[in-house]
Amino acid sequence: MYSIGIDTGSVATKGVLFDGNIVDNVILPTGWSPKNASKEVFNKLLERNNISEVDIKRIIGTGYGRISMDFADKAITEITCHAKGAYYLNSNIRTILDIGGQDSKVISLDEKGNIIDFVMNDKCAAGTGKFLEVTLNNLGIDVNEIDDLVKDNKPMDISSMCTVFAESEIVSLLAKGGNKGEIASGILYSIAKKSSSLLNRVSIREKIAFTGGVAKSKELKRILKDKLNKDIFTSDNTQIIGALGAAVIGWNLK
Amino acid sequence: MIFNTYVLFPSHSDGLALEKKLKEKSMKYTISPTPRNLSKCCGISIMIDPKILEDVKSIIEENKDIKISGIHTIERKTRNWFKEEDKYV
Amino acid sequence: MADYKELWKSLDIDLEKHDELCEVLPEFYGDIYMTQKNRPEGMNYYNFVVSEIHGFRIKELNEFRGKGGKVFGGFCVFVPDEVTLAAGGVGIGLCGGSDFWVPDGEKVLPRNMCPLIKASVGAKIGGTCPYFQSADMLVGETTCDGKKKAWEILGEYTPIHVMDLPQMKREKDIENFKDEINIFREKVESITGNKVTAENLKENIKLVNKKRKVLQRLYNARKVQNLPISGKDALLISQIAFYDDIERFIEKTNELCDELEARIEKNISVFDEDTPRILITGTPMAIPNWKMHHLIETSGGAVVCEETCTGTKYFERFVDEDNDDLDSQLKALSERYMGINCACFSPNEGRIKDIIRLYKEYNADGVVYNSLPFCHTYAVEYKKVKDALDKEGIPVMMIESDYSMQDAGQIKTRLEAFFEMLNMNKELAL
Repeated sequence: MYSIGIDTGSVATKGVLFDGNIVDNVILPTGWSPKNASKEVFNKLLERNNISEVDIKRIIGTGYGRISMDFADKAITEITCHAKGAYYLNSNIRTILDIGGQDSKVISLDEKGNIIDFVMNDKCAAGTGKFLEVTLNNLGIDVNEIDDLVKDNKPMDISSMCTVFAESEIVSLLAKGGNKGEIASGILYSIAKKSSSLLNRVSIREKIAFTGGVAKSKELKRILKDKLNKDIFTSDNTQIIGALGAAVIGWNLK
Repeated sequence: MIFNTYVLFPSHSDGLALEKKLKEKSMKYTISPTPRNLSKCCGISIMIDPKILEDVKSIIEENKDIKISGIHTIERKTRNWFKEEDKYV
Repeated sequence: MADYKELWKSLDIDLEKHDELCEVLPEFYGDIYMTQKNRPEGMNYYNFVVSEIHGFRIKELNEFRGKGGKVFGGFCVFVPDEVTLAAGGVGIGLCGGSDFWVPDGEKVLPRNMCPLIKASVGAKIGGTCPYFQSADMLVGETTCDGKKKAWEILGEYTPIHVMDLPQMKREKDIENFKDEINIFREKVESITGNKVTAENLKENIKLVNKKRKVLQRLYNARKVQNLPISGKDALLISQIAFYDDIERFIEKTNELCDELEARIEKNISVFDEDTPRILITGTPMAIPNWKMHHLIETSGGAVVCEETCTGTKYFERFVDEDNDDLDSQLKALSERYMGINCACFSPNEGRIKDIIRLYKEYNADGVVYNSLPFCHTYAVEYKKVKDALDKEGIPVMMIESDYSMQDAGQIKTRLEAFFEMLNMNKELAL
């Protein structure tokens, strides 16, 4: 028997097949229809592993598209799923910083992996994946290139937390002949600043996990580590943590 | 599809008078704001299940002093006022 | 349906703009309220009041004024209705719970300020709220800087009396507010032409206490395991208490309570048994602001109590009824009103005690701290409340939100996660 967790985010839809251990995972762009994307991820997981629906004991949906997943047994918020997923990967984790496409959140866990407290950014995009995407767009570079570009560059000060204002700030820095690497470094510092203020709204306890698509940036991880003066854990599976948590919950459900 | 029947009145006192009668007969009703597409004047109407319309009609017949200004059966539609998720679905 | 156009015109309402409001209200109320299952039948009265919100009650007030009666419009739970009633006046709570009025408010107020103030001012200057138009005098108070300064602007449009509310709770502050109530008495007397006497004040202290008692009775019905009424419906009743005819309100709400108590006997509930029970604390919710209750109750939670001005702050504690001279009565009024634990006081430890007490009394599972944006007093006080609740092991979540709908999706996610957390806590406790 297996369980499946599907995390339908604003940018990507992630699926994990689980049997007590991670069997397989799939990541697809969400596109315009979260419903179709989640179904597609589900089918792909079955297909790739030569199994059928009867082999699945539970399907748990999470992420903002969870409501549209009519084939799921249960919808659980990404906050709970992230906590479960991160705790599954490392049971020493007590604080999770997650930066996703539309939102960023901090979750505080107890020693059993249950949520004690959490905070989320408000409706503004500052410090989220969207902020990174929009600002990097101005530099004409892709999110995946940022670490190479930033390396050894001193950060230029980007004072606007607001995505819209930061954009125009960057345009004017470029117009003044600003170095792209320094600007990109400034963007990461801006995200780190916003993230640490979010972190400070809960009592930060070690160990700290950094998850979500934005956590792929090693430079951002380093900046955060320096800023908080604490070790930060990331995982190669960072993007699928929500889906993994959903699968773990599904697996444990009676 | 779910349908609701609305009884409209020229004044709220007629509405309350019919309410009293429905209450006496233990008939199920709900006082409701008048749907905008039925009347442009803000005020009450009485909403009932279309199934009991005939019974309600006979009560109105019996009580000539209760004036009504129309009976309409329309499909119930709800708008998601606090929408967000469903816009891409 | 009854035509109120002539009445509105006589009140100098901007008919065209007001019509936009009339257009959305029936649908808005219908979708938020009438979609609830198994509502108590007694809610029909409140359906009636809301459906006729700008009709029946306005007509009633108009007739009262036609006979020489005076109407006083207030914004706050500190305005002593007892005094108004004793002078033969009527006190009504004023609007300010919708985005609809905000653009008009922003014509004269800065954008970055409390939506409740913007909406209240907008409702007056836009001429779209018949309650404002029916008030012979507005009564403001100094509960926050935003309101304090807004009264100066509102005063250009309509007569306004401002009560100076002390911001500490020392003996001299209670004495000061007694003076303020006395000044208010003189003002009300001069406008109504009627004297406030020990006899009529005593009678009306009893009457307003009766209203407090029935609201307490309603809230008591929410302490039980099987909730006979939704939080959304209870909020609506609290909101209506501010402007409905007091005698009728008491009668109708007692009738509803009879029904609720019968439901409790029969274990009839409007929620599933394991629904997380939420205590809301924070800023007032003026009609038609039903947002937070709606979001909570459509995300798998139930609101069991409001520690707000449109909740327990409005009705808890009575005014001492055993005084026979005006001076002692004014003192008793000041003591009761100064006992309200509004965030405008410093320090305000009493509010923290209230939250913990109410959490226990109403068997809540968690607390939602709800604040309107730019409300410094409530936003700052969160830290003290959060620290105290953490110490008690009471889960709390802060949600800052205005009247707009855009953040609803995100708030729902946060609420659902909060409820998942509460449910998990419950399972662990078993």
